[in-house]
Amino acid sequence: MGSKRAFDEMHGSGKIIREPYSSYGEWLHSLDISELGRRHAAADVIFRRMGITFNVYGDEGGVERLIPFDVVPRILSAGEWRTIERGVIQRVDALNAFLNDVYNDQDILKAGVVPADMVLTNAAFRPQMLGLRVPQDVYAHVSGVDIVRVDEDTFYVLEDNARTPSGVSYMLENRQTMMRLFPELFACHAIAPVEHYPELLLETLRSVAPRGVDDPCVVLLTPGQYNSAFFEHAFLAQQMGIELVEGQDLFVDGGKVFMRTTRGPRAVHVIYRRIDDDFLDPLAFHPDSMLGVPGLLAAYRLGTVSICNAIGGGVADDKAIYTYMPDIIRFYLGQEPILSNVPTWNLRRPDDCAYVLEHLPDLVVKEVHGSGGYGMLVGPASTKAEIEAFRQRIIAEPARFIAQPTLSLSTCPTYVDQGIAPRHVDLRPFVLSGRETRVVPGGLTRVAMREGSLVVNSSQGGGTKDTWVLDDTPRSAQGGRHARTRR
Amino acid sequence: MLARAADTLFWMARYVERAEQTARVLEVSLRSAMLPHNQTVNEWEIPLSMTGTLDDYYRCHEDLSDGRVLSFMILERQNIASIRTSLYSARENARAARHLLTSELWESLNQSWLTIADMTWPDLTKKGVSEHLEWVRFRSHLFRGALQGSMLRSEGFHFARLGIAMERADNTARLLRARWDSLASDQNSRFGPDYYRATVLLEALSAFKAYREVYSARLELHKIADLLLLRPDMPRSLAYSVREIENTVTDLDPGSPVLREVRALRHRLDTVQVADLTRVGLTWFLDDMSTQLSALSTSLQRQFMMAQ
Repeated sequence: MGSKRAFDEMHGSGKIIREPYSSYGEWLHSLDISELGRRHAAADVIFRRMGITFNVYGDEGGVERLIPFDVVPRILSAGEWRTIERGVIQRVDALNAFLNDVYNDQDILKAGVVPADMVLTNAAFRPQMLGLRVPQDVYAHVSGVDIVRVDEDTFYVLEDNARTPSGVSYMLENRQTMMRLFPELFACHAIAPVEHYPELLLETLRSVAPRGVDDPCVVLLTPGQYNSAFFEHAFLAQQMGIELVEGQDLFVDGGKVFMRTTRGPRAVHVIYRRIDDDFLDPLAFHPDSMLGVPGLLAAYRLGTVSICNAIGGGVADDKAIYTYMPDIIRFYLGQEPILSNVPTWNLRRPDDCAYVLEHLPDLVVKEVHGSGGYGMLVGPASTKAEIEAFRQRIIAEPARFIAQPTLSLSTCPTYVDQGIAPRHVDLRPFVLSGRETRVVPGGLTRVAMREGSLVVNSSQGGGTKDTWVLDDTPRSAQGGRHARTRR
Repeated sequence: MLARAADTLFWMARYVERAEQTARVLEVSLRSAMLPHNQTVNEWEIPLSMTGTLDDYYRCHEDLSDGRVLSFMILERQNIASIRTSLYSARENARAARHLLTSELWESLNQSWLTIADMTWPDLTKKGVSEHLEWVRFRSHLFRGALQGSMLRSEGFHFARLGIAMERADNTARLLRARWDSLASDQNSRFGPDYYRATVLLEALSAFKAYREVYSARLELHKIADLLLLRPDMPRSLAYSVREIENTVTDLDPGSPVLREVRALRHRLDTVQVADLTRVGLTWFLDDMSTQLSALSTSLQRQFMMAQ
């Protein structure tokens, strides 16, 4: 955006190759571009043959598309990663403390740190959760924290995803594919492993089983094979060795949840659900949902089953709550935030609102409850008339909006038709919270494949890259970990 | 395992087997059509009536022709019995249960589907219809090979095995039922059964060499019936398939109440004499077999695969 050239992950702001890319850069320089093209095509074949796709609704029950995979990795130094890791763990811990608080004592509301009406009248707030203690006091067991970078030292959190974040299967498949395509790179780089994510996820899910259950039965609840993320659901169930269930496979009897197996009913203790709150239980939420399990909420409230992520977590990843995250971190953890928010104006504050109205052509204005780019104003890309129309909407209901500067996301070299060119990227690390909060070193790097575009969403032609976190522990100390990366 | 997952794997395998069987049925027609006519019924009606799609065909076409029937039975999206539909259904079931399949098994099916998903009639004729039918057969061999050679012997494997056996039993009964009259009509001729027609049928069921090996004699109608129905060592025979069903159900649950039904069926095939069959009317026997197989499939689904 704008005239200033974006910070590049490989070249920084100049022409010198940055330290994390020094070895990769040398390798890339020595490689013939047609060879890269050949391996790029090979990756396409692998993904198609393995059926690593996402579904787009259409003919024959959904058309499957490949998400473009880019063969040039996004590389982070060990130091950069340590900051990100500490930052996202801090953030998710605060987020869980916040959820535990708003559904129980509501101290933060009483203290006036977050306006009570913003939480209690929020569409994602679930009164059914009030007073319910969940195992380990954890609500967001799996979170995706979307991070963008604007210069050498500045990472911003763009968004928290505390409901059912997806994309982790691409993180894992991208790594597998890179290891198949570029074994030589894995031999000469010490790249921190991500392959143990499914193990950690299963451990996390087991650690929040209902009290008194020693060997919990964990299942993954999917809306079914026509859901856009079905590949990921099946992939994770397979990697964890757990059943992939649909609502119709489960039933509640005597306050307990069971699944229908070839040998009769079997008790279920932990449900890793990949369907939204609204569809979980037709008796409690959407009465016409065919995806859910009648009576599930009642069983949940009895404590016989754990639901991950917990019901009602959406109240914490709302765009308006987002603006309070730094205060939420300070309130619960007594720490300063390690990762900053994108500077955000909250239009319910009169001063912020006045400033935004004056600077609309330079800003991005988002609806608090909107998602997926709906109801959004991108100032620099809008006409005067569009801006004026939006101004009237803001004046009518300022509390519905937040505003942010247009950010210049960092770029990363990317293989495109013309060769290698910079394209904008973001990063989503996946944070697991159970008995402890952990994150595997890496995440999903999404890349806007069109030149100049800042839109990284797969639905808008965004692609993905493997994300490497360089391991700086001395070689002698790496032992088994390293062997795993080389597998 | 989940009852629904068992059902998915069962049908995945049935659809692959069905695609293979349809390819075999069409090979018989393709080759029989080149022989001199001796039939009152049009050769190209047989694959349609066998699969119960004659009416559907006439809704789309006015008359029978080899090209139209082949296109309808191989490529037609609207035809529930076409090879395309069978492979689509097999692959969709596999996709729903892909976490239970080895990557080899999944990729073999996915690749089969991707190859034919956009195939048109010009594509098909360019490749050659016979070549394509042979390809379908070999994809099914590959599927079974991947199943046998890579899957853990857990319930999922057995349900897929069960699907293959059920479908094969049913299809062999149907194919023989559809072809019997035309073979038998030559009975009284001086040369015995029509040699070429019988050969075509045996070859399409990969049974011609087996016939020579077992009987080392000229083709005789009752021996053909014996081979395809009653020989437990002939892998596409009814007797073999029913034994395979019995073995699979035993592996799944030795105390299964359905075993009584399977054993009764097997016992009948063990004790019946081919001479009795041809005397009472083979077609009557085959119709009865089809009915019993369908009842058996329902019982199996009720015990293992259906939601309570």
